[in-house]
Amino acid sequence: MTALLALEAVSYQFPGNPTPALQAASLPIAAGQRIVVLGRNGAGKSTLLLVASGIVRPQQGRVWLHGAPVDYSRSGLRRLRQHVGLVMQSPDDQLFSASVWQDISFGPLNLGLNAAEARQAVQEAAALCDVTDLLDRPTHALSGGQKARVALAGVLAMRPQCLLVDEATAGLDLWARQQVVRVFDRLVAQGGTVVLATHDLALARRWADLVVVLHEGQIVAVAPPAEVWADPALRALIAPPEAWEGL
Amino acid sequence: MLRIIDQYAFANRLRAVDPIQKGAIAVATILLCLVLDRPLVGWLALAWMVMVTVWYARVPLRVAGAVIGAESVFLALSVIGIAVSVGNEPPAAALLAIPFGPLWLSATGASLQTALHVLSRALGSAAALNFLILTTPLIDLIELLRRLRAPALLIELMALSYRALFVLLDTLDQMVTAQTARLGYASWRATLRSSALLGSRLFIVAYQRSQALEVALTARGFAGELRVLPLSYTVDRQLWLIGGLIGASLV
Ligand SMILES: Nc1ncnc2c1ncn2[C@@H]1O[C@H](COP(=O)(O)OP(=O)(O)OP(=O)(O)O)[C@@H](O)[C@H]1O
Ligand SMILES: [Mg+2]
Repeated sequence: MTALLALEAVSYQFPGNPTPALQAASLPIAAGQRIVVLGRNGAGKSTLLLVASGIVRPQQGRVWLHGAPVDYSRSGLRRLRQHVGLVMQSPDDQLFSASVWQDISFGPLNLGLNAAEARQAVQEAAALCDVTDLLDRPTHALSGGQKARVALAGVLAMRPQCLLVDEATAGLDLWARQQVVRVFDRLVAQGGTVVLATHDLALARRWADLVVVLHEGQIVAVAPPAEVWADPALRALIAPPEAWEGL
Repeated sequence: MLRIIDQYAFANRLRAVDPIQKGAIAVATILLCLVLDRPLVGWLALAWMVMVTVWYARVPLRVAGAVIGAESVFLALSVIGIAVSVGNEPPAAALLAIPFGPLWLSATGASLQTALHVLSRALGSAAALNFLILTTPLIDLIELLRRLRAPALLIELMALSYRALFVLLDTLDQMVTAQTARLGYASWRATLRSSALLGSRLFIVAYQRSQALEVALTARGFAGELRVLPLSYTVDRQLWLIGGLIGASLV
């Protein structure tokens, strides 16, 4: 089976930073998976997602989409972005429009949908993320959690097959968090894949099919949560001992 | 002030009304103020426009009053030049004459009247503009420009700046709070140093935000054009009627 998306030995180093953010990382991502990326601050989680979404081009290694290497031409990236969505760590970085409705409509229109189809996509995504009653509100008058859900809706409106999410559940209250996880589940049930970078160990344990453990830019494990939890060496790379109590 | 205007622009009763309609009424009133030469036109326009803003759109009088009040101070200062003339002889038929060193400042009845006339028309126009600004958020004004076929680049710049402005204002607030909590403004010297740091830091944050924004836009398929769906509005018949009556009363 060819993976939906795959990283093959990718390395990435930020300009002006001598330590590589990602080193020879390989990760096949199949359809219909719940993947959680764990690792401490600076481990390379965000970088992994940036590479997987084609935002940054790795200096070494390759990214594959549906069994073909991603070419970084305009059309190649366009194809990648039709299938792979990225929700950024800070919603303020993602929301560019002052109107929630217009912000969500941006992605669908870029996919080439006509106005009626785009309107439909906006409504669906808004309902999915529970932001329908925020549609005519200004972006800057939303709370942090509301912004996060609007940012998610803006990406879901493009109906990606693979959703890359950078800590979207941080800053959400427990209802909103549950809501967002339900949205992820629905996407997975439709054959999509969600890759979530997070520090939420409880969520990883409960929800993930696969846990990717990153440490200093290297992928040190890709395994079901039970296996990661059973390995003290891996646990030590992710969080201090107290954090694991009761999980 | 900016935040308050913005807040009411989103919260007033005419928020959903088509910006073309509100814009047409405001522009028509401004034109009438400029074109008609009757003595009462400006004052009437001022009164009507404040009334529509306060009673019909339900913007609090406090807010509408503060905005027009601030404007009237500026406008009054700028018509002083019309009312007062400066000479080096005591004026013959002045209503008011004040010696100022070797010079005489004087105002005649006619010059005062002209000044008031100019002031009233400027205030009437300002009130009409306030009506538009206090009832119409900038995103709707931008939408209005889009429909009037303004260049796409201009529209995108306006939209992005508007959004960025509020993100930066929030950032500024947070940084000032954080500095204050660490006694950043406890003394003269600290204030000086803190504000200098604030300025340079804000610049860096603005730059980083713009880069992050570009990443996010790219991820959503940005290809050089910020295309978004138009907003939808209602048309308020009653407002047309009110606008018509105001116009008629001015003419
Ligand atoms: N713009 C940048 N310029 C230079 N170095 C960077 C930049 N962004 C990240 N890095 C470095 O790359 C490494 C990986 O960063 P990354 O943002 O991927 O970490 P992360 O796992 O997402 O961390 P966090 O949990 O804090 O979000 C870090 O050492 C970081 O200092
Ligand atoms: Mg990160």
